[in-house]
Amino acid sequence: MNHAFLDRYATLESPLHRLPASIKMLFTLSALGLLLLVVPFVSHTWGWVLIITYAGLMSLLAIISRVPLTFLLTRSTLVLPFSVLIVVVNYFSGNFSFNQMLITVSKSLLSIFAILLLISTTPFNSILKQLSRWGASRLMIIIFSFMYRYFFLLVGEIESLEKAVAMRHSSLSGWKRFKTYANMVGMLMIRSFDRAERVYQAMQMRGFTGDLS
Amino acid sequence: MSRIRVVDMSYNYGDGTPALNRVNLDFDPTHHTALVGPNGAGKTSLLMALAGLIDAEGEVLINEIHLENKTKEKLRTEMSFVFQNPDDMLFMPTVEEDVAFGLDTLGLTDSQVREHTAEALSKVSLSGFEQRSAHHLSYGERRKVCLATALARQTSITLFDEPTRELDPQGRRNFIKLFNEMEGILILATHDLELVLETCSKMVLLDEGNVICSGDPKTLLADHQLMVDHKLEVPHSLTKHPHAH
Repeated sequence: MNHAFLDRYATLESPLHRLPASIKMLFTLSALGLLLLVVPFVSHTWGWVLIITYAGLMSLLAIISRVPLTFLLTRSTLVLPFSVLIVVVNYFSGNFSFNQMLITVSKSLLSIFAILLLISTTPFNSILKQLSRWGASRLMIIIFSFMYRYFFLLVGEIESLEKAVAMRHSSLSGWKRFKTYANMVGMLMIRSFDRAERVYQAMQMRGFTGDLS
Repeated sequence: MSRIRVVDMSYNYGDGTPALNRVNLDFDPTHHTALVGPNGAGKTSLLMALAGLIDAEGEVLINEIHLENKTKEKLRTEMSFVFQNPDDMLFMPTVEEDVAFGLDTLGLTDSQVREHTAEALSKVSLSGFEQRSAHHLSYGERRKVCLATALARQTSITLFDEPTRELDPQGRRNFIKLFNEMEGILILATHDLELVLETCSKMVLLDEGNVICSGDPKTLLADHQLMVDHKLEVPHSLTKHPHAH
């Protein structure tokens, strides 16, 4: 099972990887804050200056971190369908100008890029530990931990199903492809419910009564 | 001394197929017991019912206390369950937290929890893995962490579902060693018949939810007709080798 969908580079050796998690997290939060809160309140020209500077800084950090830029860029584009949908709706309803559309899409891409860079240079455990030190509740930490762990399992199961489909049918197209993938999603849901049930049973066996605090 | 009694236990799967059919069994610490049978025999269902994880008809008496909703929580403090799939058992951020999960409900202090955790990890040769994430470990290592969760609880009853499935030979050998060092009521459900011979002094053969027979594993597993009738095979170590001298 490939469980390195997002943080496969978190254990690389680089000056950025060696920095304490707290510094990287503070930097990422500040950069996101700057991008999301300042850009809307400055002129378009200054907005673009900030975005380009931000993109340049992030690329420089990515190079220092030795995390492949292609990996960060391709993963960042996963949000594109959602942000494009939002800006297109706003554009046609007259809320956004063309320039605002481009700025919003750039902001969403760069935000994800910054988060991916953080995840790719900091093991998830260190992020959770730092959040705990900053006073995040145990419940929140455990929920993040569950999400992270089972996200990888889900990705692993999707990959297994895809491989099984590919091995038996290499040229699926059109309606057949749609039908197969619809069945796969159904199967994943059933498996997820089953897994949730078994995880809960395992927790019960170790004395869990519903209190994670 | 702990004792488990199963009286007239029946259970049907969701689609109505019988998984257990009026099962009557006794378990005590003098025998480590193997539940053996073909696929769908009811082995896992029986383990689940012993732990009160499924609502089966009939009775489970643990030290003469009826396992039911009111008593489940208390009785489970006496039990550990090692699930078939380690991914169902490991969900905490680090290996240490995974092994420590639930130990506080046994009334242990923080220092005792740390002590039990360290001791269990050392027994499965995973000292030094405390701060690792379980999902970054190999399958065999994850199985070891699951075993450590059971060892750390130091309970008088331990249930194992296919404990050696997908383990490499060395991992399997280590499991056998640890299992044979454990005390209390140990029940394992398995298809690994050589494992039964190496670890258990009692075997229960199940098929289609019925208890076919129980007794000494060596005697039962050597019975070729019994094995064939229930889609099993005489283990290699019990077959006569024509070229052996």
